[in-house]
Amino acid sequence: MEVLSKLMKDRFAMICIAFLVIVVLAGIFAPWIAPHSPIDVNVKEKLAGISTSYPLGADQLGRCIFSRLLYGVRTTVFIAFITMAVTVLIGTVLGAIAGVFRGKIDEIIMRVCDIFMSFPSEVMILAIIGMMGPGITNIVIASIIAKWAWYTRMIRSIVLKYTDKNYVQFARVSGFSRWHIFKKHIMPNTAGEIAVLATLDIGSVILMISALSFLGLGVQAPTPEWGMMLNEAKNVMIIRPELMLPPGIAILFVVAAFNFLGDSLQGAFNVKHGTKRR
Amino acid sequence: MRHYIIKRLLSIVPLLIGISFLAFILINLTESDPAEVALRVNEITPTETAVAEMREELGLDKPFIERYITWVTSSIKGDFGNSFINNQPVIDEIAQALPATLLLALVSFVIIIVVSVSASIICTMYEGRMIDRAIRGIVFFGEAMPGYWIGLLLMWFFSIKLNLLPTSGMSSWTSVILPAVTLALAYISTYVRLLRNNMVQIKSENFVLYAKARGMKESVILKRIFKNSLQSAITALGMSIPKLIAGTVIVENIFAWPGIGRLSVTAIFNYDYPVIQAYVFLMAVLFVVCNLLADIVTAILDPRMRKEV
Repeated sequence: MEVLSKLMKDRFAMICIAFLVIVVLAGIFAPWIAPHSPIDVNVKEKLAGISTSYPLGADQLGRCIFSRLLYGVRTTVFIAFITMAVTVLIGTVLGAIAGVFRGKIDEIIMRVCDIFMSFPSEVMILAIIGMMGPGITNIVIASIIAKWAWYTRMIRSIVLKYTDKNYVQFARVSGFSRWHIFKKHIMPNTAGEIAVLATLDIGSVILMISALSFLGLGVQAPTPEWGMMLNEAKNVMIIRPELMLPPGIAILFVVAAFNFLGDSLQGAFNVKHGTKRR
Repeated sequence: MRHYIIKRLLSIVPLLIGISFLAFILINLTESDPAEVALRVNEITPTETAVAEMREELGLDKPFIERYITWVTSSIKGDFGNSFINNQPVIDEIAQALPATLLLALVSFVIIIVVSVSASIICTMYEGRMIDRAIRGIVFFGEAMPGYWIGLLLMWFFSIKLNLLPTSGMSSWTSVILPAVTLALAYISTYVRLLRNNMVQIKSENFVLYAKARGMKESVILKRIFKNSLQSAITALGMSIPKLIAGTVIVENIFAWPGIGRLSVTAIFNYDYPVIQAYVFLMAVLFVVCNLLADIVTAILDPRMRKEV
């Protein structure tokens, strides 16, 4: 609760939270807010300017950019959420197993992590997409495979930090089972730090998903996605350069808000990771 | 020292085995049969006999372990097989594209060092003042900006609006400017942040206070602060070289730069497995070697780092 009150005092962090909540709500309620269907082609309105029915204009196929931006939240941001949730779950389970049980199993998990971390994540993702083919499910799987090792290792080190604490040692000497100690003492303490890690990193997941979709390896047309919208805007760059602005700014603001929130959370939880943002 | 290097060298052997194994099994995880893909991309109808012949030609009929060993031994010799698309040896294609990527990475590297070192020195000199806050603000947004978006905006502004630089390809020496700047921008934010925080931290150490008390010149003190913060910067830069080369993928595709990043994405679209496999394997080896070198350099610079292996 101390964390919450600290966070409440940080005005800019609250602005970020409010902004992100609005973005998520806009994504959820996109069908009710959007003035047009995001995939309906309307050649008459091709490259239309800003008007009341097209708040941000229309693209080269006459699709409403504002509506595509709203529906894009569902792909870009929500897919990043799913990716992050699964990655953190795997990292927590394996990291906790390694940190709590130590010994052989710890050794095995860490060596496997070493091998996975010896690939730069960009190469790893390209390799997996290369083998499984382009597509959004494959991108999610690829990013989970590329990231789980780093999370496992970070979470293990967080767990280890707490197992060295005196009250945990005391609980162990008192004869409590490992599972009990983990559930009672380690889990609640580590949860906050894991949340910080995930918030700091989700921006990079959004950037990666949109970058891959920009290359045509991720979300496939006609599903709206911010990175892909930029790719389409690239083709009409000479006649309508302003089409590059809405998706770019959307990505920039959402990622910046997550990064700032992560920094604030880190301050509020008073933790310092060797933040190696990847 | 020698003991440390030998130990560190030995530690990468299992890593290399693991990497090669991973790169190899990836191709075996595909849902589609490589033999069938190889036929399809050459527009040959994959009849049963044709597939069987292709399997034999690619050596897919042999047991898994035997195939792995054959692949590793020939990979070490530089033979990654032939591309499915044009039947050229993969190593030739990579050798052809590699210089372009290395040039791009080198130019970006120079930009990164020059800009981040000067920006972080300015920040340290004027800590807490207007200019420091301005640079940190830019850095903050720089980290959140999609690199390919910056690339597109730069391309629009400099090539289309001002018509100063070529939009794409590698036609003249000015072609490298836009892709290199785009690539560098993604890393500059990280390094300015790292170097600045490091230098500001060192600024409050006792030896700086002592130097100030002795009345040493501000520029001499700054030089000492900088030298002390170099170590972590070198490690970070060492790690960034393979990341830079891997990071060229997006930039090369925006600016149609004929490097290995573009080659690999084209290969993905064409299901050209041998090219993808070779790219992944070489990148991973490069990453391991650069990490090793960075570790050794750090160990030479700072004896405290030698203990951990």
